[in-house]
Amino acid sequence: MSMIPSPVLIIGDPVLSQRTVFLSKKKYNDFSWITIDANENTIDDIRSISGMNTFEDSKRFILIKNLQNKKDFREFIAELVQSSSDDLKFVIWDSSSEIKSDPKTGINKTWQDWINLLKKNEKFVLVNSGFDFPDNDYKDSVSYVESLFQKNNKKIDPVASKIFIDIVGRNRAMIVSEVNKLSIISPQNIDRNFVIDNCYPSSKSAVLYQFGNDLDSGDLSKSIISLEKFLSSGIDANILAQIIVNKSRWHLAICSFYKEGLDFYTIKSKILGMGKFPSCVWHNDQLTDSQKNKLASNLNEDENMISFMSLKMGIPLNYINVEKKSNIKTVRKGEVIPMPFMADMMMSYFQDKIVNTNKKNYSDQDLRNNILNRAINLYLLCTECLKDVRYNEISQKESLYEMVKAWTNTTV
Amino acid sequence: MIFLINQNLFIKALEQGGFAALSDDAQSDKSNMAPILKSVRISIDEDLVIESFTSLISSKWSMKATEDNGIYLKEKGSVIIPANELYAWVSKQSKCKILLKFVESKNPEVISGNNSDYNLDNGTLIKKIGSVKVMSKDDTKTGSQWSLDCYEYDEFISVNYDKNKQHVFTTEVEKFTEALSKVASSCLLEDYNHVFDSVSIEKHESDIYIGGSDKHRFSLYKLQSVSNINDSFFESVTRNVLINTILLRKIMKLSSGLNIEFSYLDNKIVIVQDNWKLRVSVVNINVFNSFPSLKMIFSKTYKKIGLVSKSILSNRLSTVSLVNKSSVLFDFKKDSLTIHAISETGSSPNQADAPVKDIENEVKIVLAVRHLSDLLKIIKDEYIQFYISNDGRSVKFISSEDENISYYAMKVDNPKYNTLLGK
Repeated sequence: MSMIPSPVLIIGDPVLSQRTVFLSKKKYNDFSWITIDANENTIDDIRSISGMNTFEDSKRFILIKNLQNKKDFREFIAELVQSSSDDLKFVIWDSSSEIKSDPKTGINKTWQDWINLLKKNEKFVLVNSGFDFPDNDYKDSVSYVESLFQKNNKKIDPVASKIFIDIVGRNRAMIVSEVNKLSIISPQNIDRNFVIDNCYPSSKSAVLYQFGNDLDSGDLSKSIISLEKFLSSGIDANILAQIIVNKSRWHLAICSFYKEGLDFYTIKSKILGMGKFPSCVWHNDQLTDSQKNKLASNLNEDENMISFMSLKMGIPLNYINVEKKSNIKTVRKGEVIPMPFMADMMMSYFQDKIVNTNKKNYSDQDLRNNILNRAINLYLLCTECLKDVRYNEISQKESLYEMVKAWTNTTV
Repeated sequence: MIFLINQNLFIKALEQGGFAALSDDAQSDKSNMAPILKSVRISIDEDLVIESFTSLISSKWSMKATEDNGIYLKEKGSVIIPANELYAWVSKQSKCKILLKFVESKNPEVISGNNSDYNLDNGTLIKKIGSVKVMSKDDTKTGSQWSLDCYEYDEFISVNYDKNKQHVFTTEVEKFTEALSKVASSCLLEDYNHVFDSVSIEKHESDIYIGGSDKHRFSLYKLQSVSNINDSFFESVTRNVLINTILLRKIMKLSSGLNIEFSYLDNKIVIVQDNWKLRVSVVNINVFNSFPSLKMIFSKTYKKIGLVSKSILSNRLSTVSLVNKSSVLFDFKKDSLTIHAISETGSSPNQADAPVKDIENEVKIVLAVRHLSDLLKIIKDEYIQFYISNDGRSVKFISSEDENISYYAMKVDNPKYNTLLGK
């Protein structure tokens, strides 16, 4: 009696699933593999192809990919796979990611019922390659990164793996691919600096982080090299210019708080609260950071927000109108510093390169005034240069150089 | 290098000599070697030679450089130039003479190709050393002229097509082309193992057969006018020789001579015809074992079922396949054939009758619609003779118009027809 499983259902990340299919074909290469695309073939075709005899009595694996989200199709597959035998095996691969999983509720009921139906086959095996981690998740994604490095006999510290997630994103295939690449060149213990220097940024905010990290070194030549590296790797000049403008705007906010006499720790928490919704929570001095986090996440739910506005703020219910069709998330979103450690980065640039470099030349009050003046001039110059980058393609590079030069010139 | 050549001769020479460079394999190449793989080398001395190569194919066309042949030598030499561009330009000219003239550049330029990720050693650098001016002039004393880049590459392979090759057989081009067209429809368009997108050449008893299969059906053609069969070759190989079907069809389309000669050398087939020599990589004959062998096919015994009119069968098949385009049940009863189609999609079952002549066995079998419809295209007979194997797993068809053709199709297991099959 054959121990080879059938039917096998492969769900989850398409890239990782593809690898599972590849390895299965390699493992069972004495079988003849017949791939059927359910999008291009009718269920009659699938039935016929599965049932076709061959001249040589070869054992067959029928691989059905691109599942269709139709009741008839699900019922047909559930019935078809019952014909599994020692010579006929089935692999059902959800290559088009029809089966989705919600982090809270799991796989949707219709598909779960179908999976339960397949489970009735004695040799059924479910291969779940995992789904993308939710946007705000760190707990599971960080431990996933740690476990992947561990498989490669490497150790990554939790802060570094958090930065890794921020730079690479929460797509499982991207994470696996990046871990495999990094494991080849990484030391035994991976720290934050190694991740920053070697991870390939896959999102705009990650580019911001890496490019910003080079800018904040205050080293003109290093910053220019970094700028050219990103330009040559296909990052648009507009994105890089926007990054410098954003940084100069955040820097202006820091300098403005500094002028008001705030200490570095308070400035950091202020800029982290910048642009966050709802402002009545984030700018409430009587709440602790954890209270703010908890309240803000509660108030992201429409119903909670309505009761907060009516009960706590005293706004009559008939004054509140929820537009269900509008993109509420977009309306609520202000300009925030995308990742918390970027605030650290901004503060470290401010402290080390601006305050410490210039404090011996001025009295405290003069220093605060001059630093703010530099920040204003820097911001105005950067916005002017951004216009050039946007509307004058010929001098794009020159404008970017000009911005980098101004940013790395730390003298006030 | 300067020479003059008739346009119609040059176009044929480029098609044949530049066969490798003009292939999709070469034209889609993105490696450092791409400029060379996409080019032909044209050499002229006593002979005019045009040759090209890729990792899978190499081709060579040669002819005596004489005025009688339409080649007028002015200055001997050799150039490597892009095949596709040259072929496109030459094919636009008509009924004219074409002049090729090499113009050396004072500043040769090293080109690294499209892929800069791997470096070539100094010894294998590709250099752009000048250009080749191509000029045409017809009866009106007017024409066009163009210039193409000319490369230098020390490692350009000059294949020796005759060394150590083992002659296999010789046949007539026309007969072989016809045989190929009959069996090609049974092959897959693409198979990543390159087994079922190929045709097999195999000897059985004293005849050479060409066959195409997609695992579930097999079309076979007994080659006619075959000479110089090398029996010891066929005895030495454990299985048949496979050649990619699409490639072979392209080769046969360009063939113009009377005879074509097949030889074998280390998993490569050498095809020789008049002025054209080709070497094509084939599947390792000792590695694959999934292609149906003639021994297995001929060891099965078949019994007659009956004769069905081709036009009626074609009509009934297209009617019932409105319900199920994939598989239908053939129910041969006394004097009549009923074709049933049942679908999974919920459409009502469909059936059609057809008269059967000379019925010898009452049979019920589920067959693939496509296998039957392809058969109807290949066989020109007025009546189709059905045979069934003794184990009941396959059917056979033999044409009475052309007895060299035989076609085999395996049955389909479809539980939807179980009730009609009496299971």
